[in-house]
Amino acid sequence: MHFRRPYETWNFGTAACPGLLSQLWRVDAAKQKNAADQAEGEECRNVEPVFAENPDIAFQTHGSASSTLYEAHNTERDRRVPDLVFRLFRRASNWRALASLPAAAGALASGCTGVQSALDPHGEQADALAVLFWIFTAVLGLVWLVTMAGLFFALTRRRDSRGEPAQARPAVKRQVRIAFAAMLASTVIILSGLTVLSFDGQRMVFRDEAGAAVTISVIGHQWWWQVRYEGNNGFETANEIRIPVGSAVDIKLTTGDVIHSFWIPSLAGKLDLIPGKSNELRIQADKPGVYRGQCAEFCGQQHAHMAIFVVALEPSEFERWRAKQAAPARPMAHLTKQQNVFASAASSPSPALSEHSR
Amino acid sequence: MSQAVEERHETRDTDLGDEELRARLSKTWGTARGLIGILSTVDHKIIGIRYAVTAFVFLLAGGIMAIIMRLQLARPDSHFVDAELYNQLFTMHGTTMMFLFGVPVGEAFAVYLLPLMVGTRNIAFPRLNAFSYYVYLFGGLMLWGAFALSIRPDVGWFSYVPLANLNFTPGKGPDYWAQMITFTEVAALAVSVEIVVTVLKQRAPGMTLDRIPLFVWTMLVHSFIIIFAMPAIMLASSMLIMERLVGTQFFNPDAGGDPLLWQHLFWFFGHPEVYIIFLPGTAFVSAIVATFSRRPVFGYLPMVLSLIAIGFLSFGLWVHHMFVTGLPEIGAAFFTASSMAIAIPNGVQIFCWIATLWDGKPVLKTPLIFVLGFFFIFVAGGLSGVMLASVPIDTQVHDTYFVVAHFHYVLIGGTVFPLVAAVYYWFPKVTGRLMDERLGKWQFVLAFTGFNVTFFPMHLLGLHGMPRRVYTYPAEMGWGGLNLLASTGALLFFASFLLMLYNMIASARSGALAGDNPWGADTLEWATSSPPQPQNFDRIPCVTSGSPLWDKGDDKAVVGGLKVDERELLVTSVTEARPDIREESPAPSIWPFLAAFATAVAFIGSIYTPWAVTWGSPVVAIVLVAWFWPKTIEENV
Amino acid sequence: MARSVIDVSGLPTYAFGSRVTPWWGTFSFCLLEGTGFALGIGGYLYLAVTNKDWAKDAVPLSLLWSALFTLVLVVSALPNFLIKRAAMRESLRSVRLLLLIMSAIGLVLIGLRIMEFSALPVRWSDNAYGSFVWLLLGLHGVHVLTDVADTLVLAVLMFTRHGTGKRFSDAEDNAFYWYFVVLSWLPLYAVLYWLPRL
Repeated sequence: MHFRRPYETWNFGTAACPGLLSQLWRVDAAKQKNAADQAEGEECRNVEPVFAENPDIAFQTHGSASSTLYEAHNTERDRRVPDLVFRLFRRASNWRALASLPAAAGALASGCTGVQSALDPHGEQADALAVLFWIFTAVLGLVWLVTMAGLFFALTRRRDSRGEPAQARPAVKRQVRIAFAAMLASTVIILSGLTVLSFDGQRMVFRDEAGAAVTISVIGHQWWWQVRYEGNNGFETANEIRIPVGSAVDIKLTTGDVIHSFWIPSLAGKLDLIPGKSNELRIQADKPGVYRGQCAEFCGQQHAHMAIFVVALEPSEFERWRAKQAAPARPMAHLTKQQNVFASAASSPSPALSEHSR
Repeated sequence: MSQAVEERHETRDTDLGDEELRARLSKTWGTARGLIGILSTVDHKIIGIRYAVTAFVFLLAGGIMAIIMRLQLARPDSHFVDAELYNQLFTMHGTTMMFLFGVPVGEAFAVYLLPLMVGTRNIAFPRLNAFSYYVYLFGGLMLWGAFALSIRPDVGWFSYVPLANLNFTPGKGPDYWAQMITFTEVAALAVSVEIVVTVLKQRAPGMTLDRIPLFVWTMLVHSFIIIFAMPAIMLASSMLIMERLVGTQFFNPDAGGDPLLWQHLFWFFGHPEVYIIFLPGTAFVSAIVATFSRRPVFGYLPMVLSLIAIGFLSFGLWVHHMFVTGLPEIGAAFFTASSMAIAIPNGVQIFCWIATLWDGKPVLKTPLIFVLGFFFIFVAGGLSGVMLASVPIDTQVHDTYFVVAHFHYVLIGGTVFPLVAAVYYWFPKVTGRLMDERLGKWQFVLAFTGFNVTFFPMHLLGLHGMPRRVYTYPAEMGWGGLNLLASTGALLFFASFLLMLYNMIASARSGALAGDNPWGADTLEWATSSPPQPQNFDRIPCVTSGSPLWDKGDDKAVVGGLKVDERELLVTSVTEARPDIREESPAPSIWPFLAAFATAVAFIGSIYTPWAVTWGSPVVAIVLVAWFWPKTIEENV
Repeated sequence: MARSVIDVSGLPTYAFGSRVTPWWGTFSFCLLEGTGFALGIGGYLYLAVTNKDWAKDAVPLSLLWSALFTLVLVVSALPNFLIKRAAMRESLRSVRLLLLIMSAIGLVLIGLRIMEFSALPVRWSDNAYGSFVWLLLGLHGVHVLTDVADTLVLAVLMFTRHGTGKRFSDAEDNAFYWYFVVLSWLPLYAVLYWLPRL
């Protein structure tokens, strides 16, 4: 289900920063479990009718719910992840670590940040977008440098000694006119070039082809992701998508409440989940690994914690997992509990869920 | 004309010597003492200063919000503030900076400076001007008063539905937000109408269209953008509050509505809004670059055409805020092209300013130094904007810290740096005293360093996956270092404003006396005393060039024949600025204040019951009738 | 210092049309309010195009009251034109009479608009179509209401000692705004009453 079963292990050897990846994933799984427990404990959804009757009381309930949530999840995380890597990262972000900032910045800029970075692409679309980004950066950076050079030159130019330079509308000098024409022409050329490149890149975003190996529905909720594998043996997960490496996967995006935005930077650009509308995004992972993403459209109080993981598996492994998921579930105490949570949490209980818990 | 004959008995300015004329005019146009007098004033300079001071107070308030947010984000998993408060903070920060600071501060300068620059005695519709200020003030006080009472909007400055709907956000926060929008937009629209009419009809004789200062052109375009953009947000915020209060279904997809309709209406206003905030910045830059280069700005015609082009293009870009909502491809392509295209007129402007500096002799005083900071920062922000115009790139950086970095580069670089320059530049006109240069340069060092240290790292954070509007982030994401750096910079940047505040207060008390024209500038506001008399000009000047104060020759023609004991100003023709009418300018009145008060009560009441509109409207109507009811009959006898 | 003087003492203190500042003020307000109407219609059309259930929701509105309203409104353009002319001739008698006529027409129009509302087959809370019908009708109703109130005040003013000079310019300005109220109704009428019937 949506958090990791302790007896399952995965091979992340090929990802950019393997140790970090697995750690983070585990951390987040714990966090999600807590959030889910919390949701059940506080009966967030059931509070809604009360809101309408007495907003003030409901608000307080809401507030206290969130603070408990955070204490709970921190203790849980600290208990579950006493890892060296994790501790290192915590220390790196301490106030005392100000001195090591340049190093940290360097590490970020170098691209080895791990899991959630547009500059660390591991999928066809993200690759193309990163290339486009670097082209734009190079060209526009050059434009900026030229402009600043022009400004510097304008300020430091040696001037012939003239007494009172102020005069109304002096005649335009020929060289300035030429410079103006050159500026205008190069601006138009550069912008046209970039627009053409952008249109080219746009095909990647908008392409509409058949042939996806897997189709998955993702339904956004405050503040978790419901993931539904379509097909005859459909099943559901939460906050986690597993996909086969090297195959195109179509993701249908809808929402159960407010607007969210689905974004796995290492695999593809983002796309919104909008009430009354269905959007479709294609992702594809080149390598096995865990790719983190999170909701990119502000969606309410716990927006910051609405993360999702894409786990890319070797095809054979993916098929094994899928078969196991599609099979009737073994009774497991915590699983059943989870399902109850989400069954009550979703605005309309999904048939797949009830089918699955049968 | 029959009345012309009778009016001969009145004292005219041609009848008096300079000294007596000044005293008599200053009595006619002055503001009465006492509370009623203060609240009744229609002097554009007094109202302009009030606008500016109020806007700066809101800047400080919005800045403090930003600092609290930066303290929260300085460390991962921080508990300095909780999610609820953080969401309220960024909502208030954005709302305050856009609606209570960004828009009003540009208008503050326009209200103060435009009548001086075009050579008239007061702004057009001065009572509407007073009304607009009070409406703005009450709107701001209402939002912040509610905040103090813990009624806090927390759905962002953009209030996307359905999150802002009643079922997801109960409480009154978004209602106060929506009504505040209505308040400030009423104010902004009123000021825009005044600016348009002042510029078109009240210019000094001889100030033909091609002699209007670039500052004035810029504010004219700015006002037209407001006139066409703000109705969208007023419509949208009214729809939102109706959705919340009386159960309309505009945005409900289950009842035939569409949440994207909100986004279209919001951004149809929201993108021009960027130019509404940015254009006053370019107005300041044009004035300052000309003065400190000792040259009129190079390429007057290209500059004006660029401004007009920006005005038109700014309405063709709004969808680039919606690139990731799943648009049809052709729509996305169109808005990419138009978003790219607006870089051209902006590029032309940048070029013209640099060419002016190249041709002239730049004098590196604080105002010009801040303008140089503007070039450095704004050009970078504009270029990252070109990246955002590209749909594919936008799908990665949209709603991340990259965008946060981009628009702070544009808005702070494009508006706040020129604004600080403008404060240093016009402070001597307003107070009669110069601000301290040494502190000004220190302020620049602090502001420039602080700004770049704060916002440059945000580009990287966005690219490395940090979304906007998150109140915290896990340590393992590796964003801690850059966030800490950004927070450090924010403190420096904030300190630079405290330094400016100190400089302003100290200089107002004991700064060097400025005289009429301390910078040797060329526009008409420097032709009058510092601070200007209530009547602005003892004798209305006639204009024969685009830089009237740089004209050679002794013979400076003036207007004669205006009444001295009544508020009379000269109305001229639109293109040629030929004298046409001696129009009476409204006298001080308490009714605009009372009308604003009645409007505010009705609006706040409407948050709680729609009937407040029904009961409030007759009251407002009665007050308005009292406002417009003529007080004297002498005017035409 | 030699100083030449442009003598403006002979200029009038008021005039008509685009020579005076109030005309430009009114014109600017027409621009911004017109933008509001255009965006309102735009929103309506946007939903009509994007929402597949729109045809089901968009029940045609009754034509009776709206037709009367439109008729009276269009006819009112004639006395409105006459006011403008009488004001520019500064004929107090005609302006007084015509302002009374316009006030009466205005009150009739408000009555018709109320009947229009009461005959609506949808409520604002039924669906987005209903919301838009009420919004657009209400938005235009507010314009009718304010200009009628303005006309009434002006009519009273013309019967007092203030009914001279610059007041004629105000009457002309008021007539100018009424044209906007008339013209802005026509597209709204077409969209609200005839589009769902196509």
